[in-house]
This record gives sequence, C-alpha cells and structure tokens, in this order.
Amino acid sequence: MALIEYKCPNCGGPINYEPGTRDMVCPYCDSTLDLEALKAMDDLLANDQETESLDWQYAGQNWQAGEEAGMAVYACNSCGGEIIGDETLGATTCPFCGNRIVISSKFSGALRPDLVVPFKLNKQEALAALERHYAGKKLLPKVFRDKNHLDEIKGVYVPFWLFDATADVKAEYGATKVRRWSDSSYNYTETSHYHVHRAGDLAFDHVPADGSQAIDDTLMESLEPFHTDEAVDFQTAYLAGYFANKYDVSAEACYPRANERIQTSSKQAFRNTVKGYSSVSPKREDVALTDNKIQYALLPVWLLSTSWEGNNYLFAMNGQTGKLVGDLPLDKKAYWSWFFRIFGIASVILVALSQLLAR
Amino acid sequence: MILTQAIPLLLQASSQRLTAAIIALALALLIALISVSGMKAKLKSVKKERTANQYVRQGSMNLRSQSDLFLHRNVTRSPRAAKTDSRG
Repeated sequence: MALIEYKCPNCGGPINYEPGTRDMVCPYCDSTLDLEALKAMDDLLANDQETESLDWQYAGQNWQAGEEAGMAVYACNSCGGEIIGDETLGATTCPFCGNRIVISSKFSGALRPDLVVPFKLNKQEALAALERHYAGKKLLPKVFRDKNHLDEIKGVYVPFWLFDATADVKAEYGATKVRRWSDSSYNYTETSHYHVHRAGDLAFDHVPADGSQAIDDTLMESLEPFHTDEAVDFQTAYLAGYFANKYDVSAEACYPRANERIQTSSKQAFRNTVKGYSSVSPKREDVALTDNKIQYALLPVWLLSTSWEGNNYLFAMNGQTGKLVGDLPLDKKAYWSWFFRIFGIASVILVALSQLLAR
Repeated sequence: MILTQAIPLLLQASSQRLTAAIIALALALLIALISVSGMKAKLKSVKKERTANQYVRQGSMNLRSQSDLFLHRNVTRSPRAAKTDSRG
C-alpha cells in the first residue's frame, strides 16, 4: 500500500493527518489546511501534464501557368529591398529608402500569395494623412515640414504571413484574499490561500507577421489592425499601378513572433477570468496551438521615404484604414525654447503664489 | 529691545519665503519637463504590438473547466501602537 504524503502549499514541509478532524495543521508554519482541498489539488496536478505545443505547418501554393509573365523583380542596391512590378515599369525609386533602382531579373520562384487586401485609399488621401500627421507637433523642425518630399509616396503591397490558430490554454494560479480587522490591542491580517485552475480555448484569425526584411517589423505592427475579412483571393490584376514587395522572410522565421503574440493574448484572457482576489500569481500557463493555418497575403501600405540631416525617415499608411505612422525628428532648439518658456511662465506664477501663501 | 525681538522674527519670515520660492521653482521645473516630454512623445508613433487581441475571433472564448480551491488560511497579528498623551 502506497503511503500518501502531503506537502504544505505554504512552506513545503511534510504534513500529517490529525485523527478525528477534517483539518490538517502544518507543524512548521501553523497553516490550517483543509483535507478535501489538498486531495483535490493533488488530483488536479496529477492530471495536468505538460501541454505546451506551438508548432505550425505551411505548404503554400505555386504560381499558375502564365501568371508570372510580364512581372519583374526590382532590387535596390542601397537597402537591399526587392519589389515586384510590371516589366514595363523601367527604372524607378526604392519605396523604402528613396534610392534609384533598376530591373534586376524576370520574376520567378517564391510562392503565390493566397490573399490580397486591395487598396481602399488613394495617394491624395495618403498625402492628406501625412499633413495631419505633421499637425500639432510643436517640436517638429519647420524645415522638415516645409521641405518634405510628398511626391515620393508609393503604394506597396507588403508581404505578410497570416496565422490562424486555436489556443488551448491550461493555467494554474496561486491566489490570496486578505481580510484585516483590529481589536483594542492588536491589528489582525488574515490571508486565505487558493489554488485556481482554468482550462479552455480561444481562437485567433489572421494574426499578421511582416514577411519583408526591407521594412521594419515594428513599423508594420504600428499600422495594425488590418481587416482581413475584406481580403480577396489573389489575382495579379490587383498589382497594377502598385509595387509588391517580394517576401524574403520565411513563414518559419515568423513563428516565434506569432506565437509570442498569441500566447500573450491567451494568457491575458484566461488570467482575466480569475476575479475577486487580492493577489493572483500564475504558477503555470501552458498554451498549445491547434487548428493551425498559415496564409501568405499581400497587404496595402502607402510608403514615404524622405531624408533629413543624413537620416532616413520612413512613414507608412495603412492603405485600408488610413492609419499613418512614422517617427519624426526632434527640433532641439524648439525643445529648449519651449522648455524655458514654460519654465519661465510657471516660475512667475508659482513663486508669486508661494510668496502670498508664506506671509 | 524691540530690535532684538524683531530681527529673529524677520529672519524666520524671510527663511520661510525663501523655502517657498525654492519649492515653487522646483515645481515649475517639473511642469516644464513634463510638458516638453509630452510634446516629444508626440513625435513617436512606431511601437511594437505585444498582443494579438485585435485578432481574437468574436465569441470564441470557451472556458472548459475551472475551479477555485481554498487551501489554507494564515492569521498574523501585530500590537497596536499605544496612544501617547500629548498633554504631558
């Protein structure tokens, strides 16, 4: 017959059953423990095996006969960016860094995109969004605002990997409820300890990961969300009049980023179901992905590259929602000018007030 | 006699005013720093997305099993601070 040994969940010391009672008292830390609760927790932990699994698979689809005809790859010798365009495009400027690029080779290889989200907003709307982006920025250098190269804006279909999955979550938390009271001599603090278990699933659709090396991943994430419910099956006709960046980051290379985002959201969602406690700390949070699916999509982005004082500034606008992002340069003179103006005004008011109050 | 009593009072009053002015200047400095930091932050719009919350399928959250198990209870006590009689 196996001897069952329980360990105190508070201090880890071995505890024994006290005959004639339903409670167990830890001889080391004096915690009072409920026998049924201890047994239930033991059962929970015994049935709970390691379930972390974050595997993906992508087969991809090849181009159909004749689809690649008339398409060419343009490569930038400056930043290494590769774009797909019409063979008749000729020499043009790189949408990522503004340098001149020329046709490099006939388009071949790479996978055929599964989906495309067509451009909803045109160049004029992108230019207007850029003007709004500059508005109200007191520390933006005036020269930058006046001398920007608005005519350099280009519509680019950026390659993204879209990850679909159902996250199967198994989580265990340690939680406490604290109650305080006093009598004439003492202050009391009662801490009740709980073992909280949650298991379930949560589905994700089209979590995007940037498949282009030439474009900064963080810049693309700042453009989100993309509403991929408006995506359509890929047709080369959608590329007419726009550039398409060829993917050069494989789906495999994007797995860690997609997993990280899905895991963070899944853990947050299940953690939010643990309510009514003074403190909650996760003891174990396993996320296994099922029903995995990866799709290769082209998403619409307006790009503007401009340089100022030797630095390159790349702005991007979501061609579907109109959200525009891009870090702007700081005018150090304006920074200090505003600092001293605010400091001066605040000093006069506050010193005058302080002298009135100190009387 | 009047002078010997007035001088310490005047010195005390001017010291209070000086302290108040220094505190006011420190506050003004803080206000200026916070204001320009806010203006500077407006220039940054590129930031990493930590979660995939925007891509959660509506109504897909399914809580298969849940339990909240009471384990044990600890009570600690500390003596209340004795009231001091300020009347001496």
